[in-house]
Amino acid sequence: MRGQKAAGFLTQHGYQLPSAPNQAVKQPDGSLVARLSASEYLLLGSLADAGQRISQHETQWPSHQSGVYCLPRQDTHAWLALSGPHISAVMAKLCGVDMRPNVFAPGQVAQTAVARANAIVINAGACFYLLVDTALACYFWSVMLDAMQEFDGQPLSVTALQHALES
Amino acid sequence: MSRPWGIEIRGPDAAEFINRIFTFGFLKQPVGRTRYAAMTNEQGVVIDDGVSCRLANDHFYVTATTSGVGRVFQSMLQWNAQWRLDVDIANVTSAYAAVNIAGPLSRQVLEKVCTGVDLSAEALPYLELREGHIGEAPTRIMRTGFVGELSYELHVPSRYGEYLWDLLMEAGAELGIRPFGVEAQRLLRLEKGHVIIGQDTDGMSHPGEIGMSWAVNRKKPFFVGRRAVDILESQPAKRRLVAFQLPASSAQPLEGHLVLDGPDITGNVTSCEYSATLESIIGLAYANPDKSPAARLPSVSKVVQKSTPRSSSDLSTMPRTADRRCNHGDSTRGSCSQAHAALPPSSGPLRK
Repeated sequence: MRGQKAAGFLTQHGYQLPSAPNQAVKQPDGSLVARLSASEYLLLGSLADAGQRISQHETQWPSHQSGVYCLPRQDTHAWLALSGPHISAVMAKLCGVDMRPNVFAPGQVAQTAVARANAIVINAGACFYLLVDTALACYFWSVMLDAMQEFDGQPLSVTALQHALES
Repeated sequence: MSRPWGIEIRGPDAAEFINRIFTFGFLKQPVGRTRYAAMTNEQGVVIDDGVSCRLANDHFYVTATTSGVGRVFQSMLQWNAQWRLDVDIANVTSAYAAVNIAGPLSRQVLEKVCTGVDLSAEALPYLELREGHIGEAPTRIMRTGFVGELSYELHVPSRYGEYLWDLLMEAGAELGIRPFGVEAQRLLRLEKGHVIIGQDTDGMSHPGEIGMSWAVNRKKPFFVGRRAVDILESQPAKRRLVAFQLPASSAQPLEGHLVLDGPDITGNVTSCEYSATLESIIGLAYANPDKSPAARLPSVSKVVQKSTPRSSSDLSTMPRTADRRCNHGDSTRGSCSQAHAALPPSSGPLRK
């Protein structure tokens, strides 16, 4: 969602917003709001409700009104989560941005290139979220599997990820 | 199944923005209507084309060429950095999947699966656009196309792409629905004389040269490239894009082959295919405009066959269809990103 009035609109609907671009704030329900520019916000659904809250917004909110424009990100982006003790090491193989914990802290957002593809990387605390164009989803999946192989990485189902994050 | 290269323009100044970017007039484009949209650069060269779809007074959905959407999007952002119009410009190419269903029975197939839209010719005439549902998929339905048949472009959120394809193939099974690909589409557009920007144009092509003066609005005060287009079209024409037809038995020119007028090079072949429908070789080529009225190639011209020992063929002319505006805007050299489903064609060599 973006536009000059997007921040006000989201605040009205109960979202806590990051104070600056390239930051993210976790919401009480587990969803997350990442600020991508001065007036653009990316809403990521909660694992707890399988994204229901955001899906409802999509149908209930107008696609646009004065100063507020919804963007169809559910259809444009693939969303992966990378968790475990070797996140930074895996990302170091794929991305030129330093993502060690002391540099890329929880709540930080990098809009950068990962494995030569445009990507949004969000440090969500317990894991990194990676968002890429849906056309790159299969490529990106294989890249991630390859990159984490040396650390004995394995794919997780969404349910398993939820359990892992809760524990 | 694939993506339909779309850009959305929303906001109070959306119509004004579109009007400045493209050569046609868009301020009065009715809601629910599509309009051919050509784009020139500041040098007056045609650099892209597509279709402008007006979904609301302050909402346009514009298609661009498959390979050109990124460039067009960036150009739009760049221009509006100067104009400061109150619009939001979003590249939604990834957000939509598109299927082009074409053929005389396409309406019958759609009627089986479409809800919320009256598909009759009276309610949804040529160039009109509606929003409804195909099965469960929210769909933008456009009565446009690239192939010269009764045709609908169906644009759905990309999550519904595969679902839409399966639904259409199932609904059309008893009517003999079949997939058709890029090569078929490219031949069909050639039969109707439709130009592909990038294939039939180059870095010098201006609207008048390629027979697109009709797509330039002379009444509006400004569009990008307006001054250059005016200057170029006030000069004597140096070449003109024309359609040609050769007997099936003649050697088939390749794209890029030269068109000669005696010893002089007057142009080149830009598209050429064998048409089974017309039982002849057809194509588009640049030629000397002095010896030919509009859309005519001088009979003295020769096409030089590069791969054969200078075998040449007299060219005859083929009328280009009068209305070439049923363009879905795909102008990629050699590929179209849309998926297509076709029904048995109607008779007649140049179908509309």
